Amino acid sequence: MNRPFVVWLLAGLLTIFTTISAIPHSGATGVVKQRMDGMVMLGNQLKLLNPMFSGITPLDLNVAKSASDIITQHGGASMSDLFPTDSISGPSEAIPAIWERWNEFEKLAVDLEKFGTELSASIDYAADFANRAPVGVEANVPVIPELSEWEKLDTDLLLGVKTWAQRRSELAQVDQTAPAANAAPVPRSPQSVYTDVSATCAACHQAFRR
Amino acid sequence: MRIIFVILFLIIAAGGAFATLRLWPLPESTTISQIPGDAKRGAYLARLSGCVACHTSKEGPPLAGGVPLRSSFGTFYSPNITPDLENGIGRWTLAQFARALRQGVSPEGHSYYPSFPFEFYGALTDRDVNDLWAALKSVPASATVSKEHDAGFPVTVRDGLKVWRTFFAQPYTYEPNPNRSESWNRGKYMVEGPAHCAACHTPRNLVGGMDPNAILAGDPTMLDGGKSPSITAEVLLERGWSVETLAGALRTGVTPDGDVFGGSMAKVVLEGTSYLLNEHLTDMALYLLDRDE
Repeated sequence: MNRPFVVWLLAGLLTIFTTISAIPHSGATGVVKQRMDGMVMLGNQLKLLNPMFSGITPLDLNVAKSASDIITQHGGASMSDLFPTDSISGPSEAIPAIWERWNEFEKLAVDLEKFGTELSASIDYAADFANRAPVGVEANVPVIPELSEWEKLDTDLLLGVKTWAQRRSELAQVDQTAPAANAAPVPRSPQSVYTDVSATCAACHQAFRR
Repeated sequence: MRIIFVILFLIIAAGGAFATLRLWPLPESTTISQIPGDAKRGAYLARLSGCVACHTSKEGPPLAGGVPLRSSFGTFYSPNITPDLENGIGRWTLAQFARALRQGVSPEGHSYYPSFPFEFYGALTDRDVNDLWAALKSVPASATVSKEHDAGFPVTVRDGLKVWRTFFAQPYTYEPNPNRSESWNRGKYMVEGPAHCAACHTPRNLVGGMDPNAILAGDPTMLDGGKSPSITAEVLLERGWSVETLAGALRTGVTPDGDVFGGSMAKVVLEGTSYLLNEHLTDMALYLLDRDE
């Protein structure tokens, strides 16, 4: 076998290999590829946010803000429009239950967008609070201590008699000091909202992914 | 003439098998101390043990049952465990509840199917049982009728479960390791006992018994058609899990690479571990990453 032939053979094999490697998600095309790319993008945001909200790394407000905006952009119709009826082909991990329970699937996509928006707003509030000059504590404003993890749970919540939304509403009422007349409502903490973001992802994967 | 003897023999053999099954023993009932129950602590145990996830359907009231557990042996439906007098457990005594939970035997003296993970609840203490009892009594009663299981012969022969239990059930007994920390031992109790991780993460034989030599080694052919990964310490460490990331994943369902648990593990997180205290998730992660394998 002469050398030029070997060189051409190797070049050809390299080209074929590179081409195959360049096809993402094992051959996904069209709308399946688009939504897989979208899921990778979402996963990258969770990869950034999870260590911050798990206490492993400090919360970087700029990174968290950017991640929450990307999550918002990929939720709602941006998500559900990528699932035309029965679009399961090739490497898709979607299951037919999506179209059998479309309302439920669509609601989760809307929830993702909603919680992404809320997370972004919560981070803006936290950033604004951090930037404000410190003020002295007013003598007559009662300080309500932060509830412990155990205190935030209650029997009915744990048994499923009550939802987290109902429990948070109760806790928000308990947490109110005497507010100023024109005080704006305080948004939920980024930690609290992130819990809903990840729970929405988990709920959708549990119900609608292979 | 010969055929008559064959038929007679078969009838006698069937009768003998029937009598054997009827007389095959179940474990003797153990006693339970009556202690004032802490309903909130019991409710927390109900989350840890999977009671809420398995006994509350999407459409139904809390703990009214009806959740299907599909397997190659049939579909098993969780029963109503609210305090309803007719269709729940409202007429049960504490002793009957303790026997059902820790030994898998109903008040009528029948064995439960192992779709109810009684093997793992054997380590629940008297205090745990009393607290769970208090919690369940606080749930609104529901008149939902429990669904019949959907299985075929011979699975429907309840007495056959007695034989299965003798050869394949592995009731868990908790033994703390005095050379390990309190956190590690708490994790051991939760993982091996009420959280019953091995129920899904251990391969099973043809009749559904767990392989005792492969606890937590993963099940590539789960009875419901899914597959579960190995969560032995060796594999978890090889895959780069740490106590923080594992506890975090049990809290949120999000893995370190940004993916989210799917299938039944997503449900475990959503309806179970996401309610647990960070301290307990850390205990479980600590134990899983450093088991005495």
